[in-house]
Amino acid sequence: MKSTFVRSCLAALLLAGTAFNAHAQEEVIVGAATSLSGWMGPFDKDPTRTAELAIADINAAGGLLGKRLKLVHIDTKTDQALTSKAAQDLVKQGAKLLLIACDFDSGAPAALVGQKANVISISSCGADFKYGNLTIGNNVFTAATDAAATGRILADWGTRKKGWKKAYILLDTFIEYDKSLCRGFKEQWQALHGKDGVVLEDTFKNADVSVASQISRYNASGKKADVIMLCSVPPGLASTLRQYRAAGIDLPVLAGTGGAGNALHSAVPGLTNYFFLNNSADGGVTDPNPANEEFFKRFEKRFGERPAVGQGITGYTVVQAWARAVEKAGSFDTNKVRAELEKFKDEPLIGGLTSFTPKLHTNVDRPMLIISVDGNKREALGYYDIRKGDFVTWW
Amino acid sequence: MSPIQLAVDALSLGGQFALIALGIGLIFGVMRMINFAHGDLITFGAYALVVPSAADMAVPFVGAWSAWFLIPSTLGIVMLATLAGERVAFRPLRRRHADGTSLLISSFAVGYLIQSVILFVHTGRPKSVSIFPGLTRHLEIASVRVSLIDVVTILVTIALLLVVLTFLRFTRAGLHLRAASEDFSMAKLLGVRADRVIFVAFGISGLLAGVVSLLYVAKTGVLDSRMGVPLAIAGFVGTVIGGMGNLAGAVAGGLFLGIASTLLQALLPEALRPARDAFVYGLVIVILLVRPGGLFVPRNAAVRI
Repeated sequence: MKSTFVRSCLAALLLAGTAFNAHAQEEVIVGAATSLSGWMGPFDKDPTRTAELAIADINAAGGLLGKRLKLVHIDTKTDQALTSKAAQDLVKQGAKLLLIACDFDSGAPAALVGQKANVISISSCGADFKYGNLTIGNNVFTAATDAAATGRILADWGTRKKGWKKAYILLDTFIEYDKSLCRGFKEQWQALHGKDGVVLEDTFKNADVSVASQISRYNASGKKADVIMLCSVPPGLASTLRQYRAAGIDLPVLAGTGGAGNALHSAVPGLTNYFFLNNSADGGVTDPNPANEEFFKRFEKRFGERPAVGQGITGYTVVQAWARAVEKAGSFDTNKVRAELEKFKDEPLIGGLTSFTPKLHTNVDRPMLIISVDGNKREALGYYDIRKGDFVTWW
Repeated sequence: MSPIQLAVDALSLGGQFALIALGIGLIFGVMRMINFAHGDLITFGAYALVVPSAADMAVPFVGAWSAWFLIPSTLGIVMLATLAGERVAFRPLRRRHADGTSLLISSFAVGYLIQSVILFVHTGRPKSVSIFPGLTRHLEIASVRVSLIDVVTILVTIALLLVVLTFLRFTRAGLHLRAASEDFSMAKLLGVRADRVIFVAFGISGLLAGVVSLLYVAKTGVLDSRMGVPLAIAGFVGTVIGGMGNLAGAVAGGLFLGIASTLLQALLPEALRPARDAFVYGLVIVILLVRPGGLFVPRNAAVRI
């Protein structure tokens, strides 16, 4: 009697196990090794949420190659050791794609694990060139626009659309992103205006309390710039803006993706003559691309708010890019999917036109949304394409 | 670059560092402990200006009040937090005669606790808040443009240093504090009450931290969970080069650090400017090699350090 009972229990377990396996076979895991806590938390949160929406959209449309996608998220808590462990867990669970951090230093441990296990890793908004130049390996991509490329776009837009001729470059030497941004800006600016186009260059440190010396140097130089290129990220970016404005320097200021977000603009009462670019519109700004607007509405319905800044959308881009490559390859095989990703040429995805090549796994030609701030009011001016030297629409 | 402009820039930063160094120096005097939580108390005061929330957009809380309420509230909040830290994290250790290392570690713990709570409540994304918008203007002094907030910072620093030094010089509590700073055991034997003198030191230290919170936010307009760390380091280095245990020395040390930093930023050639801090701290090492006890060495320094 007892043995029959045990046997039937075992049989039931076996059956349940088979059923579970059969179910698991139909599901393909997309792993997200991103931070929801620690200082990276706010930067990874929206990309992780938009990735979740992308997976829901794909499943609602019947799945990918007939299989359902399942997002497995492990919070990496802004900790590099945890990030590596999370990626290992996800790979062990059979993840076919890893969504990794919006910052190279934070995401690299996961990318290394993915590279070793031959799993594609795509960063949401990590704009460091090291994500895109195969530093870690050929399985690593980023959905961001390269930092130096965004600097070139700002220089080109400022020249052609605003007619500025003399630039003053102010670099925050704290992180690589800022250096790349300023490098790209200077390169393009000098290509358009010659060496004399840059009237003054100066540096500061993000954590500096005071940029009084830099302000004094500009005032004392007697050089008149048309525009300030401010390569920085918060909090240093907002603090510098406040101090320059307080010193009576009302010149137009350009910033990269780090300059986005209403949250930092309130450091400067009545902020005016300030411009930055991003992948899509910040929360509270109307995006010229109707597909993005429609997406933001769905996002708001699901999460009760819009992504705070325009980079949040890149989590969707990661899943969408990979899924499109899987469809084209007709397979989940990493080598085949990678080959398809590397054929992307202005692939119209949510989050922007996306291109990759076998040597370049980041975007250097993507049109970016320029946003202006006037009296603390933000307005999207349009997607600027450096290849055309003009605003473009592709929808 | 105009000398007036340079002087204002240097004194404004030096003044803030002097206030921080004095806040750290006061506690070192009576406890022989470097309070590394001092910087995080400055952060705490800054965050008290906004409503605690995980939202990106900071809503002013204390920061929305008129200056008459805003200033005493912020100072009060930071003083209370500082005193609470003393009561909970330092006094029990002191009662058990814990050594200096344990106290130091305890101060790190208090600092990390404040940072972690802020990170948890406010998230890691820096926020911004504009207080005293009237100060974001510039003045013309002898046809040189200087920021009003820098001038105000210098004036507040001078006034506050005068008040604190007067208190130390001319009041009974100040006398006890100075006596305890000179030789804590002897002061106790002579009837100075240890708990009270430490309470007073922490109270003034908290007040100074609160003032720096306000000056910092008025100047930069930003809040960041890690903003206090470099400030505490600057204050600590200021007390070391001034001569540990010497309050006037701490002020001079902080002032020196701010002035050196501003002058190097202004005068170094562009290629070397990013290495400014290497020069500043190189200078600090040279000073300590020449004067190991700091610039203003108290007579009984050998016993103390």
